[in-house]
Amino acid sequence: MTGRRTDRRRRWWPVLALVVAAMVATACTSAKDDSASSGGGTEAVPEGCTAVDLASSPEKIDLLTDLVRTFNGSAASKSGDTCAFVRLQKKSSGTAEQLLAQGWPDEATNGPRPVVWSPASSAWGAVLNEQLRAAGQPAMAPVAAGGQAGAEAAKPFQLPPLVIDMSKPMADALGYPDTPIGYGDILALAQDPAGWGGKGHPEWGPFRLGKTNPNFSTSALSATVAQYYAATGKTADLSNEDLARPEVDAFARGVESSVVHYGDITLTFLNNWYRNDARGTALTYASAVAVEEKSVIDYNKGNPDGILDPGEVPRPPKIPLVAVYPKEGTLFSDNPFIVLNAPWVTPQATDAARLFERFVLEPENQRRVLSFGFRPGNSQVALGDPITKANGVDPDQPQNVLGLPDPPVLVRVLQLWGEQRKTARVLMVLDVSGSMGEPADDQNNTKLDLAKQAAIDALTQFKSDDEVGLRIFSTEISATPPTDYVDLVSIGPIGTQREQIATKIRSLTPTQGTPLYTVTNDSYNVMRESYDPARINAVVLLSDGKNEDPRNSNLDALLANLRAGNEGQSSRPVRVFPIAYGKDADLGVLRRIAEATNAAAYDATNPTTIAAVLTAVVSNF
Amino acid sequence: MRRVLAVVAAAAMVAGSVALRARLDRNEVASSQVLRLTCAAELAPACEALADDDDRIELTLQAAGTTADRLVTAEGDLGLDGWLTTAPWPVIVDQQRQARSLEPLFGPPGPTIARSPLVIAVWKDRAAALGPRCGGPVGWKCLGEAAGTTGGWAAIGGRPEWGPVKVRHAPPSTDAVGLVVLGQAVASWFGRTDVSTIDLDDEAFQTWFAGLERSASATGSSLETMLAVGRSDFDAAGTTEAEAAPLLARAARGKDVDLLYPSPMATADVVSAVPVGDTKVPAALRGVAEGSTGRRALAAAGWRVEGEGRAQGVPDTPPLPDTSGLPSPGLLDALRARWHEVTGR
Repeated sequence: MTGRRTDRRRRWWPVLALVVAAMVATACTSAKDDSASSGGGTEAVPEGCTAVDLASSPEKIDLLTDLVRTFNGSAASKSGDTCAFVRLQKKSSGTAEQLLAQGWPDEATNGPRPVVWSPASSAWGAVLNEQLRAAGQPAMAPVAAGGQAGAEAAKPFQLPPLVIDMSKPMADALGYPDTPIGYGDILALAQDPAGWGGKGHPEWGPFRLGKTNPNFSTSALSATVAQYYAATGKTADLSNEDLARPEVDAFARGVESSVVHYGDITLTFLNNWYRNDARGTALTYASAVAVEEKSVIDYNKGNPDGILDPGEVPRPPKIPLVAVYPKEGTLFSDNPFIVLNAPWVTPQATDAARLFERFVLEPENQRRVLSFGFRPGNSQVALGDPITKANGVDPDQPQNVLGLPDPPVLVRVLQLWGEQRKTARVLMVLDVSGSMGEPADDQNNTKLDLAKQAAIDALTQFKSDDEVGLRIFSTEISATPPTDYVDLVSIGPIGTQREQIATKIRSLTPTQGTPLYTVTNDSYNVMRESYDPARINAVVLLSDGKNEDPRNSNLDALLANLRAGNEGQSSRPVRVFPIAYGKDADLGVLRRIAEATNAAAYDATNPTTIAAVLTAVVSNF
Repeated sequence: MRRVLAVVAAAAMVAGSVALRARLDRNEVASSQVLRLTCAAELAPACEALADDDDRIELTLQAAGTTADRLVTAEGDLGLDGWLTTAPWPVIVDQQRQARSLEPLFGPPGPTIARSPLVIAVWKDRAAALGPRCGGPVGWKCLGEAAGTTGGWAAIGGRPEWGPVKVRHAPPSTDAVGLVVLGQAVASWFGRTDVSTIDLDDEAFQTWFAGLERSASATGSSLETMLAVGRSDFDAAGTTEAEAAPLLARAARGKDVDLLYPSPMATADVVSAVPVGDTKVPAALRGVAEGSTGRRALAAAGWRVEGEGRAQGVPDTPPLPDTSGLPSPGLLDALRARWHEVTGR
């Protein structure tokens, strides 16, 4: 049976309840003082309270942390016999969906099984239900998009629309806002050999679209759905038959072909854009990125990732962004508050979760939602600052909302994207220095053992016409020049050499030191010399140490070379995605290498996370 | 000394309350039977108030259609002692059971506990644009025709950037209110309530019906979301006055929306249904649901209840009609199936 169950039999007499409540309140208040941050299920739950583990998508984690702090221990966290204590953990929408589809295994690694799941969009709930249905299991997420009765469906608690964010001069060049812009216009621009030259700005080079991976990112999932709608001319009821039409396929491939590179999160693009703005190269880094409206506000305030670190002073960019609301319509990220119908969710936990839901939807707290740049889910709260034209967004937009497709169509959209996305050309560069032989876990695996398995697993994420090669590096690894690295498998279609690469990876053993700068520079150069404009060109660099090569210790020269190749209208962008592996990895240097190529560095200083990190890295392609 | 007295007094209060609780428990043995109440999800606030007021109640909130589909084939323990929902869901269940040669579950419908007129909430600028086309107040027939028009608002006198005409109501397959709203819309098209299933085959009706129902997004977002998101979500929504009037009174965009009472007026009527084979439990449950607590809770949730005040935003007018103004239960059930066929949902 679905639905909420409330068992209120045998409540205690009110006088005694008051006594007990006072004690519980004291306990909860003490706990509140100890919970300056929400520790992903590690916090002790005050006696008498029920834990409500909440898995939230990352973009609203600051907001929810703020709300949870206020809620835990407050009067709002108690009702009758129920005392709720919310513990927050950050999980990207796609990752959480995949974990829930598997029954949320391995709580030690993945965090506690959530009672409440708040992905960025109900679409993820629909995808989850569809995957469970296909596996013969009952639905877990009561979302309207999954066919749930409207009155039972999870409520949205914030509603940011998806927008195409563009540098203001570029939007101006397209006549925005007087001339509406849509995905069709982007396709036309992306396919124009003159690029921005066709709009009077050859100095901006070709049209470059930034997009995240829809398997992980809600804005990318929404953008991909919106692209398909644009291709069909429909605004609702997108069907699998629509997706199968040749002209729709061609449209999708056309848009994807303009992608600079994909990313696991939109903040990667925004941070890189901001750095390019500081260097005066913002207009040649990217032309447009599909993001949530809030990101435009944050960027224009000088806080591109939406997180202000202690001591960080926001500084507005030289060139602001504007939110373009696609003329074909757009989707809202409804951020549903999903109390899961999962086997591990007890009626007590459900009741406790409802207390937090009620708290979050109160007008006072919805005004806090607005203050963070999200559109509130409670209609009592009027839109206002910071959702203003001065911040690059328009409270009177969008004019039209696209219908969320049925779950089977959403699943098909994800499958098709895997086929239609821009192909990649990637050189995997693995560190096999001696330190990779150090133990990494309590099962006698070395760092190299874990990296090898993760790399082999990651190979399956490439599509067959991606091109992948394998290089390993360590000082004096080769008797003949170049002596610091060896190409084990030349770059070629992975469809024909996947097993060959895997076999080579399996055979790796640790050797000498870490010639980090030399191998980075040479790998970058070789990819740049063989640059293929039809593909995403990238180097994945896994290293567990610092540069240990006295023959080449000039970091500035390396960075200058990397930067020079990635800037300007006729740049041949090769992104270097470094992975800092193990506690001795030089994360600071690796970050600078990533930033010099407008890519992102990944932190796997805990070696047991390498599989998840490599998955995130490969999501850039 | 005062501290000692305070401790003694507190201890006495605790001991006294324990003793009192124990005595009450002994007296309530006969009435401590669990009352399993299933409520249509739209009635959640009222049902939660009932459960808060009576410790015996074990509450399940569930979409009416989900409950109905389960009860149609249920045998033995039904998993509930009473069902608070809107008419005519209990009758639909019994009619479907009879069609399967199963015994009916419920006795004659109990008295109507609360009522709410069915309304259309429409953005004022959209209503103004539709006015000339409708030749009067906006109603379901006119809305359905507009929703089915190729070219959307641009083709019917609205602004091109408004896109297609989008009308929402809750899914009639599952939601209590969704079914009666659709029933009103269909009666509006025919201009009468004595619609038969054969009438549904009328070609012109089918065109209108498809236009109306395909205009709504599969997401079925709520009126609350429509008001939060603004005009881009839906142009108009059909629901109860109980949902819409308090919401519009509170919403920041409430002043931008007209609340229309389509003619002829129809109502959603709250009833309690208890299984036949009278036992004390269902009778007690009906007493609870139809008693003063239930009535007050429904009134507070926006329903019109005789002898009770009105919730914020709920007007006294227009007066309620004598009957629900809806087609027969059999026709409403047939509409569920027709809706499935047209929308694929």
